Amino acid sequence: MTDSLPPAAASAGIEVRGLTKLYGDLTAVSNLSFTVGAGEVLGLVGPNGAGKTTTLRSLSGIIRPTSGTIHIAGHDLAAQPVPAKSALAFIPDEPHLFEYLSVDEHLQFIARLYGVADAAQRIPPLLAELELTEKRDALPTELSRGMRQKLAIACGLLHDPKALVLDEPLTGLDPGGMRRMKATIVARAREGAAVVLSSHLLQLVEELCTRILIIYGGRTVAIGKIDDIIADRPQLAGLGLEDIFLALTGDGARAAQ
Amino acid sequence: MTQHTESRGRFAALTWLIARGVVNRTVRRARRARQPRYALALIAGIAYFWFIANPRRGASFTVGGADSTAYLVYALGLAVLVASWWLFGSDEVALNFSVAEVQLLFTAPLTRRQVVAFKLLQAQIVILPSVLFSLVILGRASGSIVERAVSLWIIYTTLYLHRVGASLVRESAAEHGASGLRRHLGAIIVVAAAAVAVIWGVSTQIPALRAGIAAGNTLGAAIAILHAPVSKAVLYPFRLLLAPAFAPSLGEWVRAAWPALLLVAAHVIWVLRTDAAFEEAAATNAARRAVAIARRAGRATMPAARGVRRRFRLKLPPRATPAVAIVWKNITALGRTMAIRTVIAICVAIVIALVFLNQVMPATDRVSVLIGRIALGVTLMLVVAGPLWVRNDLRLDMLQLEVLRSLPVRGATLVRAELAAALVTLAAVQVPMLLVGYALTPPKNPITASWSGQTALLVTLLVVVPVVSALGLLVQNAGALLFPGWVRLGLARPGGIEAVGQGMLTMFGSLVVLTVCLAIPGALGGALAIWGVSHAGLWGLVPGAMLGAVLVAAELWWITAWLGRVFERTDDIPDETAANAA
Repeated sequence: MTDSLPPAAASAGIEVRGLTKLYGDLTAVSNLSFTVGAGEVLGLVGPNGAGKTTTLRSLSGIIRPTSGTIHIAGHDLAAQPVPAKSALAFIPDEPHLFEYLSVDEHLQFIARLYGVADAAQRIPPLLAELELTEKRDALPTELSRGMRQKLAIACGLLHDPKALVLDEPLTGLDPGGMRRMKATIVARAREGAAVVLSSHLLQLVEELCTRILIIYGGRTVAIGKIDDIIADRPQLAGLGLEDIFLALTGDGARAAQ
Repeated sequence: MTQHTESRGRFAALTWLIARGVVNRTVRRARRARQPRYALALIAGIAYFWFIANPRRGASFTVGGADSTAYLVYALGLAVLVASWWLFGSDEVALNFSVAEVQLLFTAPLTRRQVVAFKLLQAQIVILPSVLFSLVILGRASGSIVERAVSLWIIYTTLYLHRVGASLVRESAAEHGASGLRRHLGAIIVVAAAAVAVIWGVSTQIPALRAGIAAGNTLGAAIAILHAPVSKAVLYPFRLLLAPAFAPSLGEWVRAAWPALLLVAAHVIWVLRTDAAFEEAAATNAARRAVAIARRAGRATMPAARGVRRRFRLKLPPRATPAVAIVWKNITALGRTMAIRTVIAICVAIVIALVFLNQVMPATDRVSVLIGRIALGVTLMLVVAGPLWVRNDLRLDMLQLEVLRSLPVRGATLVRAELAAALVTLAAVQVPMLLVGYALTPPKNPITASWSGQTALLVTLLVVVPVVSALGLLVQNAGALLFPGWVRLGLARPGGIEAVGQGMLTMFGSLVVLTVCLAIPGALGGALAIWGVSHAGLWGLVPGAMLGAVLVAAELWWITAWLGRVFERTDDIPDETAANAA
């Protein structure tokens, strides 16, 4: 199953074609294709072991697909990794930071890595927005789980990425932090970023995402707006996202597999 | 900004990352040294290094000439080391990225070559202090300190680069199979040619070695072989690498240094141009290490082992008591965390050595005698070192104190079960070794004159070795419980001078306690054994051993009961101890 966007929109965001990843004999992801245009938020959902992490790692350039292509802002991630990654930010669910760099030094480092010329102006408001100003000289070991997550978010957003890949972005955040994070995702999308958001919190996906990609067993089960997914499957009429998810990835889907 | 300038800017950011990390780490350690425990450990560590490097003790590194036997022996040592990397090398060397590096650098706009260059540069954080440390340890030697420092740097850097290159080739082969091997055809041809040369060289020298042994001059024959043209030819790359370190004058050093530096440059080019897709294995490896670190700090319970280790299975009887379950858990933990590759490498090396000895020794039965003596030696060594090495007891579990405290087991039972797990592990090596030693050592030796005497000695050792080992383990576990900040907990291996000092102080304290605990059982058991030998020969040792064992067992029972009460009163281990373990 594939979907497509007009070329102009696709070049501004994320375009995945025939993504397949094998680990030995195990097929983690099989022939996955989708596009995320500028301003779109795509919710990537699937049960444990469905291939979400492999997909996110492939999108962020951590691992190489066995076959298929990934374009970030029009750049082939395999052939032109530097410009592609320049436009990309990956915010993992479990952020790991450099043990011996302070909060401020992390941001300085990221700014140099991504060539952010006006970092001196950008860093203070970003720290203030994420309530990290008081902790700017602290090392990661001196931060709480939520603060480490906020620092990872700050590192991801510092260079104004055109493509944002988020894995369980609310993990570890307090209610205030969750609200701000959601607002940030929406704001980034409005500013033209293409966002891929993976989460088991289906309410969050329903709230923020313009389209949804449900994967199971490494394959696309459904993709599109919720209304479109229901329209293609009349038996799902009247169900919420949670019930749709379970219907497409539950016992029936297992039997089909 | 041009692409080239941007690229340079990004690499400058990576060098800044390394420098900043070093500065921050140093500042943090300096702050930590304000605490008395670390200050004391630092003093002990410095004292230790001062002792081994004290010039007045005459410590010096005599290098000899470029044709000296020492030179060739070192070259042979390097050759064996490099061969072991190709044959048994771990893929973790080249892929030693932290999760932070994977998450922040692999996703950053950096080329693969820049990432590899970053790792090579980062390695200098370890290599440069190693050079400094070696200069201190080796003491006085010919040549200026700069010459010696550069010579050592060449050796360490080349070896590091070679290890990285070898593991990248291995990784590529593992991931891409035949096509991966084809990508590294040049390196593989060089290594294969070297292997063929070594095998051919060794085979041509076997008759000479056999003749030397038959003439009773084994050492002389081995040295002569080392000096033979074929050996020198095989060892040529390693001699090239070592040549600056062995140069007797500045002129010769300069002449030796430039080819060695070319060797370094060739390795840099080789590694940087190796287009092996290391990212995936690096990411997996980094995640595994992160879980292991979290586990050490008691933050995660999932095993950090590779698939091969997860295959380790030990059946737990369905009606096992809680104590047996704890023993089972700890033995399973050991099976899943010990370095399987290392064990396999050691076994293969022993088999190769025995095959070689069998070839060169005229009488094959000598090999079996050698094996017997090695087995006995290993057993006795394990009595002393075993309790330090085998750590699947409270030293592994103290970081999971909250879990341990929640178990429905009395403190004394838990301490005894923890101790038993390590003892069973240790005894599982010691007892078969003793039996092998007994079976392969002929009874006609300086201690025993008959199989009866030899059997008496075996029975004595079968009684004494486990109880002394148990006492050694008890001392280590008591340390973990009473002084968790002083004993290495979990699987982490903290580095730094203060860690060495802390280890020295802990070892000294443990030896004192062990000696005190052994004093009465040793004196009474020893006296009975001496009396017994004078009346009943070697069989007279057994009652003395039994008495000593009973007394040690009583001590063990009483001390574990006390430690159990201590355990029940222990609510937490200091945060810093857990942090250090992580």
